[in-house]
Amino acid sequence: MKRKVVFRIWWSLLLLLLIVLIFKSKVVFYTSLLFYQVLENIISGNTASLMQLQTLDYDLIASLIFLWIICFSAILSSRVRKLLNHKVDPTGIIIILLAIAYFFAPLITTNDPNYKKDIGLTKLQPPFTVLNFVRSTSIEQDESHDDITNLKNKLKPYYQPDNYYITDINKNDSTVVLIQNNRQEEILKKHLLTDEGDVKIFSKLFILGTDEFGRDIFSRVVYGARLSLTIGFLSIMIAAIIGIPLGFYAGFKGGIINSLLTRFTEAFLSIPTIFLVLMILAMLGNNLFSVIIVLGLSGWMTLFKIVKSEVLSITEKEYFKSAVNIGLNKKKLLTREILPVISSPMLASMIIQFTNVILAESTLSYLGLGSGIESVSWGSMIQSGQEYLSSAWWMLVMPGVVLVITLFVFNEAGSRIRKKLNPRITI
Amino acid sequence: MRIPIIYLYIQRILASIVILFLVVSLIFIITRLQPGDASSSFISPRISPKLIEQIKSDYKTESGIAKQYFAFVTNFIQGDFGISFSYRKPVIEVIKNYLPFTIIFGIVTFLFQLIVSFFLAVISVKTRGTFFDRIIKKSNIVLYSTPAFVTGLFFLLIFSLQLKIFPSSGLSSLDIYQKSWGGKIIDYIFHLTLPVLTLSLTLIPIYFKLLRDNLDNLLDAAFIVNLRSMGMKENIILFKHVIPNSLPPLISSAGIDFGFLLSGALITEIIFGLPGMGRLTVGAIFANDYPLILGCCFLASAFMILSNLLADIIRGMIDRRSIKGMLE
Repeated sequence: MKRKVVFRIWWSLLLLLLIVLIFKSKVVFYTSLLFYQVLENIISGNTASLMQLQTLDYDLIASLIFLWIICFSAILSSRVRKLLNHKVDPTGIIIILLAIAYFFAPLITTNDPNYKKDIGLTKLQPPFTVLNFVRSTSIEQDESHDDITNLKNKLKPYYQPDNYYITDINKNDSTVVLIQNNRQEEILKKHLLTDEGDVKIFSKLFILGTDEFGRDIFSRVVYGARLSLTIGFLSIMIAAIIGIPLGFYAGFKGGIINSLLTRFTEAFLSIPTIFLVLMILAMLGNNLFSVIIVLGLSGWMTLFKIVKSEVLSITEKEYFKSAVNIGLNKKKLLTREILPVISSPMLASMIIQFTNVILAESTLSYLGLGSGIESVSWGSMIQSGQEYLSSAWWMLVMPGVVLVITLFVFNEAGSRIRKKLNPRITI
Repeated sequence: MRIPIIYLYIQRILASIVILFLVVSLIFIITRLQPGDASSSFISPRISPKLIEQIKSDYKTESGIAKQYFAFVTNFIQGDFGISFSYRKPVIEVIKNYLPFTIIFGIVTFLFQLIVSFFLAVISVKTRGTFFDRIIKKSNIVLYSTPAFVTGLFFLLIFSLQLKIFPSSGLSSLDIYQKSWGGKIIDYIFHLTLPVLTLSLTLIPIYFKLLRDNLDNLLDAAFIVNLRSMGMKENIILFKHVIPNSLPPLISSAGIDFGFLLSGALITEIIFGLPGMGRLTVGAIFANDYPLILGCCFLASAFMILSNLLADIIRGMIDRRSIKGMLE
């Protein structure tokens, strides 16, 4: 008998906790200290030192708190335990991984997606490269820093500008070779000794390689999931806010308003979407906000059509007519007779629309438009991968594969809901 | 019975003309809402005020939007889209340079993807439930969710950079003029293989899925079971009864996509450096060249509406029942 492996949701949570405890235990410790410091500052009213914290620090603290909340609620509440005990298939696993990447991005990645090191050394490294770092203590630490910045230095040792890279480490040898700015120099190990008496040499793994500026592609891919999912979710909300009420209205009222709205949507649909989006983007300017609005505005038509046709078909059904004859008021008709029936086709079309928005967003940032310039986006990563196609294939392949997997997973989820509604669809 | 059907067709054509008019107004409104003036790309602080006024009066930007709109509509009725700002030529002449390639490219791609998806669907239906069928289905789902730029770049990476079979960009080699007639055709084919593959791989999964679903549903339908029980051969059932019945939804879906193809495949053109309508339109949008934007978008929408109309008419010829439905 072949035993089938069943994945459950809490496995992923356990994995995340393990990763955090093994690779990030130091970070967690210092972050809790930092959190304590922040709280103390807030209580004492010293807000000036809070300004020194970067957004990444808040990000880190927030994701840690969120992780603890999930763990403790799993211990305390049986409902959460039940939820975590659900079985998931590969599609579900990838969706959960995306959710983890979305909420706990600073915990899984090794550094800031926009952080650049010595470009000459780290740029265009293939996947699974290990680079060795050493932290030089020969330079005297500046005493004028206040407590928070000192804590930050402990938290992220490799954020300091006085780092070196090492090519060869020999444990028994007393010297190491330092390389910085294409200069090589041999240094005795005892110069590298810290206060605690051990040499601070640590290696760093670039799982998916680095890009042309020496940035870690894995970190960028994880942070790119954040951007894509946020844009997808918000523009779906905009499309729903416009499309669903209009669809209800057209379906209920019928008549001239219905035909006018239908012609209007047809006119919208007749312009190729990409041109429409580009035109409105040229009008509104290039930023995250306008991308969300534009993608929402270009996506409401399909939702409108589906809601309208579903409402129209319901109003002609006998149960609805009898409900009207009984004398239910409009609110009850809407909430009891229509919404439960159309909620699942609406959900399916919204998920399909979600994949369309993710695709459109990455296409826009591939074209060099949209939000790809200021924040990390899969599309802009693919675009820069195109420039280094012959020398660094991983710059194209990694974000491309992740994008395809994401789209595939959400398509699959949408088509599953559809299959439940209409079992005759085979694929 | 002949006259009402023609009347319905005329009604359908009139409806598409109304939509076309709506599209033109919509495009006009969107372009005029831009912060940049139509003449702003020609005006710099160093130009004398006299010249600025002359430029502004040339582009009719001083009068209100309503006047501009009416001027535009009268020009549009006369078939005049104005003069492109960036090319300094009439818009129609600019479009004429880009249109032939787009039409040829679109038609070739369209035929290719229709034929491939049709044969794949028929093969997979004939081998229903086997390993081969499952492979086709699974790879179809993966291809369905692969964006065009990822496919195109992966093709470039594999076939043109690693294996060095196909050229990476352009429509033809530099020395195409020295080649013989046959050599030219081979050169074009070599340059267009990857773009055609890229563009058609985005639509083949959709057609395949549509056809496959239809075929599956029809094969279990009552009248097919009846035919089978009468002792008809499977092949005859498939080719004479099942496939003709499964075509109408494909035709209306293909009509929309054909319109999109004719309006230019932006991503494919950018990746492979081809001179098509998509790149022209995007260039016009970035250059704030609004006569050209209007011309291109009008043409794109016109192709869309025309191919929709064509698809509906063909569908009406195959299946009389669908004529009434297409008016809704």
